[in-house]
Amino acid sequence: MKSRNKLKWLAAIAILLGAALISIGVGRYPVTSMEIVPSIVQGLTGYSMGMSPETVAIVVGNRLPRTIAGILVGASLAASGCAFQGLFRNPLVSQGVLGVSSGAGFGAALSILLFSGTVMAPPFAFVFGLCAVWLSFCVARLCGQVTVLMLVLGGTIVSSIFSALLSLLKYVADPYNQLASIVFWNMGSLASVESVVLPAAVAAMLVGMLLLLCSASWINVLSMGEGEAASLGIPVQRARAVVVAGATLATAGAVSIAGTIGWIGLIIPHMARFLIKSDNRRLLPFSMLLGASFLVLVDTLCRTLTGAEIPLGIMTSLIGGPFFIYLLRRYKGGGWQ
Amino acid sequence: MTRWLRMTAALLLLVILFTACGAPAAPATEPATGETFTDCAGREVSIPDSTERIACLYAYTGHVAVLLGCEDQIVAVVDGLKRDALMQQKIPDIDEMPSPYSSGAINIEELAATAPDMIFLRASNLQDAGEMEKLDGLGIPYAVVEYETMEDQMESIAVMGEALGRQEQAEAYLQYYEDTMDMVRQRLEDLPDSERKTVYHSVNEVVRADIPGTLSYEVLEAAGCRNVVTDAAELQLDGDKGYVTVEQIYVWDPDIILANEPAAVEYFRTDDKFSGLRAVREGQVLQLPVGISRWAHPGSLESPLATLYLAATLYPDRFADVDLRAEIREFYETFFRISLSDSDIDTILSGEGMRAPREGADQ
Repeated sequence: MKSRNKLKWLAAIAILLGAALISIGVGRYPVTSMEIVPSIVQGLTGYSMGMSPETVAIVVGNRLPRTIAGILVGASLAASGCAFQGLFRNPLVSQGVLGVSSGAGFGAALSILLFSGTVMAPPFAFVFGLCAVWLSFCVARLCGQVTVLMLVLGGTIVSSIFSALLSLLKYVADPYNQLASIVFWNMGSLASVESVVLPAAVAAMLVGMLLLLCSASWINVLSMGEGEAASLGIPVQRARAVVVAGATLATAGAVSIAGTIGWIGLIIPHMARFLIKSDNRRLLPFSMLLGASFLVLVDTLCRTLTGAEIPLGIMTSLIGGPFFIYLLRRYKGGGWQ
Repeated sequence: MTRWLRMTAALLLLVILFTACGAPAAPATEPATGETFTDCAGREVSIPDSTERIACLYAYTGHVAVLLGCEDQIVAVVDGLKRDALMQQKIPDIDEMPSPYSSGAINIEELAATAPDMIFLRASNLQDAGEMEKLDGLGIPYAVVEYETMEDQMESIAVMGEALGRQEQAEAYLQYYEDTMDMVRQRLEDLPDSERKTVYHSVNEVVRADIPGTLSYEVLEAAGCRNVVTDAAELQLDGDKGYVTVEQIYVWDPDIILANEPAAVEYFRTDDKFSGLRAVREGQVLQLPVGISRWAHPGSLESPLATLYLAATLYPDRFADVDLRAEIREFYETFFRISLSDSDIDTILSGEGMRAPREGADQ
């Protein structure tokens, strides 16, 4: 049993490495697998390995940052989705369903309008993401007990309000300088990660994921129910606040550089749970590995399938939608514990 | 039961009220002169008695109206026009003008409130039958003015000249247009293919390229460029825009990169993504000038001047006798009645500051 688990971890890590290599090796510009490592060395150290400047710029200037961004965004979204599912004891929630993604997307777009640039996107995304999840929860609480159904309903309402606000922003945006970057929050893309926003966004994702990893055992207890958690001596309110903050922070960071990408936070934790059961101490990091691989592979498809970029959101929805139907069918009998 | 009755009565009353208000007043048909012209969509449009008030719902038609000397007749515009520095100079109150068209829909009441005699727009302004009915209900003649190719563009200028009774002005510009294109063609005729520079033209956005068969593609071709795009199938088309990927630009490996947007030029020159491109390494990322419009843009009225400028810049030994600054000065003086100072010309050439940011420019 132990060794089988070990095998799964090794496989997940190998898949991520493979996905990263594919992502760096594949594209419109021909780069052979033998050129990847020398190009990275030459690009990062300046020591000439005999690679052409074109190849180095493609590998180090274009594909490597994109792959790293893909890994971080995929891992953040998966971790955040996993935490929300644990926290709300519900397999059907995620940052998308709870409205966090569209709240964060709206916040990021608003910051573009206010500061004519993406510099302030991460904090804005974070604050509005928090607002969204809080509002969803409030709506759910309107009917007394917070039920799964009410939570999903509340999230749907909040999510569509923020999407509408985002669409509204498009009307007041400058069509040349702001509109393009705002439209892109809708669909999600790793095509134009701006370097000004990178440090804050990466920090938000790393801190968010770290918070979640550290509070994994809290999530375990919280997912058993409030009463249970209190009786085990867990500071329920504080624990919940930390988890919500961590998950929202991770999502906000991801949204700030990649826009709103649906489905990853919903389906990846399920896949992970299917493979290694639902102990969050293992589930979280495993989800992160899977999420990272998934997003890197999907992004590679997005930029190679046609002559131009396909938004990530289209691809993840195409893959995520059918998977969600499968999940609904599978969990109809309440198989989730 | 009485409650139901009362509600029904109230509802009926409301319906009657609304239909009374909403019913289009008898269409304010202008007493037509009986004369007509054919617009760019092949429609017969009658010329109203007066064209003292015109609405330009497509930016290009605003530029042409100014070219024809009708700037004082413009009463409604689109937002894009308000941001052209030279348009602000020609029409000082353009900022306060209503812009009844945005994002795919015409605000018919705002348009009607400006009481235009004639409306100019492009086919894409009328997305569906509903939009067209709205406009037809207004009873004001409207002309579709648009083009794809260079030939169509010349035709569109003639059409507006006819609609506004400014045939002479249109003719003068078209004469200059043809003469300039002929001159450039003759000088580049014997330029061997091997000496023609391969060019990637970034249209507003870094990864938006020229689409074969459009005006901007023809301008580049006439200026002796070999566009790296050879087939529209290489592009991801989104409406009238064509997109590529960064890697595709690497595959094309152009001699020269042209961009009309200063931010795009800056991006090409400084971002790591592009540092490996030969054109970037050799300092061949060139800013296109911006005058009334962005030169060589698919929507640009200044195509002949842009062609001459581009040809003279890329092949200077063939145009040694051409003084570009003098050409530019004369062009705007003759056709737009704008006298440019030296620093104005510098601004046009730098492409910077001719399209104001949203807040509005100082000019």
